[in-house]
Amino acid sequence: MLNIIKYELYRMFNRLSTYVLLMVMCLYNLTGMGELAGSFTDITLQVFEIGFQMVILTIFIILFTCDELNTGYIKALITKIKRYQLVIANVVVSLVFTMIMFALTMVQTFLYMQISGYTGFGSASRFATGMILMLFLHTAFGVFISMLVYLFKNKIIPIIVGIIMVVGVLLFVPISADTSNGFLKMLLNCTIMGQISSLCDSMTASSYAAPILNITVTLGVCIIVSCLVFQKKDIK
Amino acid sequence: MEYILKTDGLTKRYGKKITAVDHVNIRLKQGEIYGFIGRNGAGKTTTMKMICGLAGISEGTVSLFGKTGREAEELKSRIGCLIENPGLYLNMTAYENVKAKCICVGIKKKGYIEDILKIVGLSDTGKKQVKNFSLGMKQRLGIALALVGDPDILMLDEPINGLDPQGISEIRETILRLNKERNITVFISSHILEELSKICTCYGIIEKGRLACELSHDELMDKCKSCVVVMTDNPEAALPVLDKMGYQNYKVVDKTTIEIYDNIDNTSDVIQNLAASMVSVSSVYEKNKSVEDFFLQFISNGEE
Repeated sequence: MLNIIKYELYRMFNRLSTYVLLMVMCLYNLTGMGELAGSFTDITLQVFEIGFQMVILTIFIILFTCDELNTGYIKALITKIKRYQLVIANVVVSLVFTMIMFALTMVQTFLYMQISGYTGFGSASRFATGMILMLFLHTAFGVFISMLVYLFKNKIIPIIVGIIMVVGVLLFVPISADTSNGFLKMLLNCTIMGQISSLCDSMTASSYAAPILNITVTLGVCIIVSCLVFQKKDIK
Repeated sequence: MEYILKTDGLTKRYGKKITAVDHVNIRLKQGEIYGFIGRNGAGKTTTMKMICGLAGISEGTVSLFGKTGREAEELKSRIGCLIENPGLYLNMTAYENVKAKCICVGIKKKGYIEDILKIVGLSDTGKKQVKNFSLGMKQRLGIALALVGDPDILMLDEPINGLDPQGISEIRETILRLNKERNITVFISSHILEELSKICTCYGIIEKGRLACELSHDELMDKCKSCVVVMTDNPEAALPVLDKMGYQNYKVVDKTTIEIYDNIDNTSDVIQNLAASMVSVSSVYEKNKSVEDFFLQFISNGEE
């Protein structure tokens, strides 16, 4: 299993698109940060709240997973590995790519604060909890996109669903911690995007349950579905 | 007899109506080079995919090294395969492609990648990306990937498709070398039957999803060996004479030609007997059938 994870990471770091996407994200962060203010914790969490990292993650996961299936390289591996191992390795790749995005964003935030004259770290516990939850919410979202690729075996449907989930929720649903509409709140609690968007505003110990449940369910369901679909599919 | 690879009743169905592979029983012994022959859509690739685990099996079993079920699944790691086009990362170099698989299977031996590339003649490709490779180079890199992990069985599906004569010859030499030097058992399919006949020790002919026959190289050569062609202006008059001589396996090809497929030790006997029956014979000669002729004849006989 460890070897397969190493293989997937080797592949990830050998792809030009990985670096291009990270550069695009950094550029976007630069343009968006000018409007943000507050402590390091506030600015960092607000950057993730915008959701652009999710778009980058969506594109990365689609390109990464499709490449393996479309090039047919998997045919050379299939006698040596179990298919579910590739699905698990993809989860790790999603996690590692998200961690890199986070690390770069934090460095950018730090530099932005130095230039803009903002100071203060903010609440360390809020930062740690927020970042961990964000990290796993993003990873779960990546695994969801990866599942769509296994299901539909093309780039179009996952990218449409991914973009709609990221942009659509932000554009069409007024997300706010004090959303009075109970039904809307319940609906948002079911989506990762809803969780990410409201995480900043409602960071209390009692509000951790929803994102944790969301991460657990999404990861569990998506990994199981991906394994089942991929296991049964004939490789062309 | 213990077979290194054995399939029993291997079947692949798509839905209820389409049966791509129908109860195929393949027997492959250690050290053999098995030529898998069949027309387009006969079921060659699907059979190979099922053996390698790329496609699900609808019915039947695959035994590897005498083991079946879960044990055979575990032993699939001893198969190296190149099915259809070689799957390669085009933006990587040959070295990086092989390295990726080495990482995946946990091979860290120093110089291993260089050795593999040397075997297939790609050691001097340097930083050239695979997208700039010729078709032959890609095929050889596909074989290199199949060789990672030192497999006991090599499954090669149409490895010489689209190659020029030099490329074909290089692949042929590579396969023979691997078979002799590393004792790798090879299961190879190809349309170019004359090429297969140069390297294979046994053959399986698949037609419409069914394994029509399995035969050794000697048996195939025997079948291709010869027919005696009798040129006469009156084939109808010649046939009773041939019957009288005990020949049963003959064919009137056209108005002047009869082909006799039975073993004939002495062609002069045929001439004498025909002459004695007042059948004029313009010429009698032996004609060797190509493997392709044999295959086409075999298939058309099957259709009849």
